[in-house]
Amino acid sequence: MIRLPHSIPAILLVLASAWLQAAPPPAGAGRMLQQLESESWIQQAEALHYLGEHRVELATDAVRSLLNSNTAHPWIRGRALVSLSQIEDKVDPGEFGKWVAHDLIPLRAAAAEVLESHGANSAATWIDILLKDPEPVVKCHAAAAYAQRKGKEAWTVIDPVTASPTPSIARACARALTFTGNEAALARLGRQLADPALVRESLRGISRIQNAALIPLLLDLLPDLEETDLSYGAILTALQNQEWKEMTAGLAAFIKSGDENRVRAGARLITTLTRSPELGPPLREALSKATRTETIEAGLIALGSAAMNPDEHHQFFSKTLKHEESSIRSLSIRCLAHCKDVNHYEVLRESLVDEDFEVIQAALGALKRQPAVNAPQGRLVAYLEAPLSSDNETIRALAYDLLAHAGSEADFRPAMAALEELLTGTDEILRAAAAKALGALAPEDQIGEVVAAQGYLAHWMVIGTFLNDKEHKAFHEIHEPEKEIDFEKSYKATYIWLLEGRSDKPIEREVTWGEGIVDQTDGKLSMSSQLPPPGSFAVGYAVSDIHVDTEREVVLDIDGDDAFRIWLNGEKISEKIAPYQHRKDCLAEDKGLEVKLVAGTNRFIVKSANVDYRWWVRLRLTDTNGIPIPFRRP
Amino acid sequence: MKVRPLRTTTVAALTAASLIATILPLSRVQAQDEAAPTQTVGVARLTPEAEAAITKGLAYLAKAGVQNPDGSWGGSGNPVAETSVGLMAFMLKGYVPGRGEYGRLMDKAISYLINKGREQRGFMGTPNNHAGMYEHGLAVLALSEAWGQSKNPRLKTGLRRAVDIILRAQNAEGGWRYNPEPRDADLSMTVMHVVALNSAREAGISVPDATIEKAAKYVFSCQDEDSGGFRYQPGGGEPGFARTAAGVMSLIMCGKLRHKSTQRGLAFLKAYPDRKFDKNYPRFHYSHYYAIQAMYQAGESDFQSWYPRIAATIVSKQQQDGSWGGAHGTVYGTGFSILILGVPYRYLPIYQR
Repeated sequence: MIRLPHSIPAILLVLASAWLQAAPPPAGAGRMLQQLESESWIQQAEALHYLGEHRVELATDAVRSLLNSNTAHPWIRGRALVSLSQIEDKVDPGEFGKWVAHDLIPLRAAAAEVLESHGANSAATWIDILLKDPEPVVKCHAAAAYAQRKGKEAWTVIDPVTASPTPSIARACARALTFTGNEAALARLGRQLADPALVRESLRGISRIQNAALIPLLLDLLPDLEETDLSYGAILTALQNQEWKEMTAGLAAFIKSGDENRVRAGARLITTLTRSPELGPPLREALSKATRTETIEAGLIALGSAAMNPDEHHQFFSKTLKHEESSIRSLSIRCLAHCKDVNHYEVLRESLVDEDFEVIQAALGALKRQPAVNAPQGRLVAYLEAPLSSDNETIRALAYDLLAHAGSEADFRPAMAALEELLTGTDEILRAAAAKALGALAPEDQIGEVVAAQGYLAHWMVIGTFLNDKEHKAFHEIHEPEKEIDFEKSYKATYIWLLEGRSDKPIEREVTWGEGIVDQTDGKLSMSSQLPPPGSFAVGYAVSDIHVDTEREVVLDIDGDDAFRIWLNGEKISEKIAPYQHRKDCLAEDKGLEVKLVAGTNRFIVKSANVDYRWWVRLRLTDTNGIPIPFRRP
Repeated sequence: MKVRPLRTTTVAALTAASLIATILPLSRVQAQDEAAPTQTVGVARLTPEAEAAITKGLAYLAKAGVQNPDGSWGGSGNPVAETSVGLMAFMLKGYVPGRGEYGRLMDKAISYLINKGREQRGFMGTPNNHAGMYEHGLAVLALSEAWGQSKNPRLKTGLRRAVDIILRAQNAEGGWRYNPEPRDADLSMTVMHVVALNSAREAGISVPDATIEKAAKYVFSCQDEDSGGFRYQPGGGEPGFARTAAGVMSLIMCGKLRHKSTQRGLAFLKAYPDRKFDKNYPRFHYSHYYAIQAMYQAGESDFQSWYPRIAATIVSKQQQDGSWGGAHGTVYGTGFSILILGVPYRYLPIYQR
């Protein structure tokens, strides 16, 4: 016979109960039941905690079995007792006396702990017994149970028991003192929490108790702690369990004390825990008297969050915008960026000429977050004069970005005048960034100007498509336009359609010359968008005439996808075919080609071929130093 | 006999029609029904066969038992869609709700659509149905086209509520999909709602410019850079004929006829192999409903080379009883066939240039 581990039927029961009960057990119940059988006491303890907390009734037998197991560790048995009382939400009076009088200390301590919440009418008797226990840990837990019932009246009993706390009893002591709650008890709890040796256990004891009296005690611990301190997290957890209104009131009083450490700690708490807008005014008031950078930083972070109604504090942010510390100025800008009722272009004007790059960067970033309609139309280039001409490349790049984002067609001319130098410069990254910004501003019919300023051939006549194949067979054939360029003529050509509606059979159509416009600032002439679809398995021609005043040697950079052959004034000057890759870019390039232009009109003829995917070609003329040469349309 | 307030587009279209009639020696084809207004259309556009096919198709839709007692058309699948299409088919030829031979059945159809919205807090599609939002869009389109003609006092409120649902359901990318809430988006559903919103806007319902611009942006994002065709979703799937027809038509409705993307889309439709005109071409009605409108808006030359071919196919597909079969039933097939065939009538504002 195959024996199943105990956990398997239990897990099946858990799953089955999902259908049978209105409220199914939590998702982790099955795994925790399995974990109960672990050999690791840590895993067992975790499972007991989970099953008790979630009151997984199906675990009752397994937990009881562990409680009664003489082979289990006594401490685990104690945890089982606590867990069982939570699951059943009661104790069995007939059985519980056994644990109160048990030989094992952990079981008696656990019994005392259970009596904090359970025990009904018999609890008082059992607590009395346990208060007389010789073991301090048992006595302290009994004291906590006693204080839970008696409150302030319990002090005479609690006082001697909690007078000399040690780490092993700190948790129960803290609970006893909290439940007692009189001035003396809370003062003692404060001292206990301030003791580094006791603070961790004390916090464990009180972290789930909701009691407004704990709030100031917990807050008082924060100014001396770093956020990385383990106790910091435990304090936050304890504060998180407090009632929201009490917490907000406590935090307001804490901040109002005026001590900078407290203000900083309070601001951090607002950021991480209590984003109550009503805490904004007291924090702002306290910050106005603060002198330390870290205090103001923490305050700005808190006030700048969207939940704190940053618009209410925009005057404060504007004031700190002039702070001597650049980190504060940057932070103020970021806070202002969250304000809706502010004219950011006005408020941040001076920040754009700040001595610190980080501040300028923050200002540009904040402006980019604002709707473009708020920008000074037609005056944006003047407004951005400083960052556009900054020595810092990041600043310049951000300024170009902002120009592209917020600029309008009205800004194109001034922007062109300001950035033309970059378009004709040799720094490719700056050139591309400037071109991109200008491209965003330029009216559709003026993009060619940005393209031409960079040395690219921008105006073309194009014709196609002629049928090609995977081997670029048609690239090596001579089509009619290649024999004679006559923009008035049209030709019969074929194409195949390999998209949806596939047709391998060539389809005939008439092709004519048309204007080919480079409409992107990167200078690429997109053959696929200029010629009729589909752009696959195709060959096309492009012709561009340019005029130079004098004969000169120039450098020609060519690139394209998939293949090109170029003639200049009737002479073939370049041919490149990139290896075909299915549905991928196939880049062919011929850079740094030295060619001679004649005075007057020069004609470039491009034959371009494509198999599939992108199809484009690009030609750029510069002098030997990489500076675009002046040329115009004939 | 038109009671609809003339909009500027209507005036322009009618003016253009009379100009054509004056200048060109066109034969005249007139709608014969007394209740239907007379309109002059060029023979090259509307052949007697096409005219007869439309008349026979409408007679089929009006036949006893075809329209349901509650005013809807079609079965239980997508009754709102079929009713909307059926209603538009009558309006296409100039029939007016509440008047003449078909007035009563048109009234009933309008009431059915409005009641759907009243029962479902403004939403007119069939609930829990992927096509529900399509239906909602089609119903908005049909009711917007009926605006000014119907005397139903609830039309205005119902239409406003229905348009609000569309406005609220636009997602962050600018598109729409299966749910009346802003989740995901696809081209097909987005186009349906762009068309519906534009029609509603023409009818006087307030639709923010930003909504239309954002929707156009979504449609642009579905265009395949290489071929100029449109995909189902940005960056996903192959560009196709139906998707491109829909994408192009919606861009035209957004005022972007001259935009490079629209022109590339039109080129894609034209270059697409001729099987698009086959009787059994997949998604025939859906594709050609948008394609014919796109070609009509693109210009005379494109329309003249496209319409006769699709008209011939549709006339040849008509069944003996006057109906057409369709992917979603006879009413769907009949309604859409009439809507495609009858573009030259230009009585629907959506068909006006």
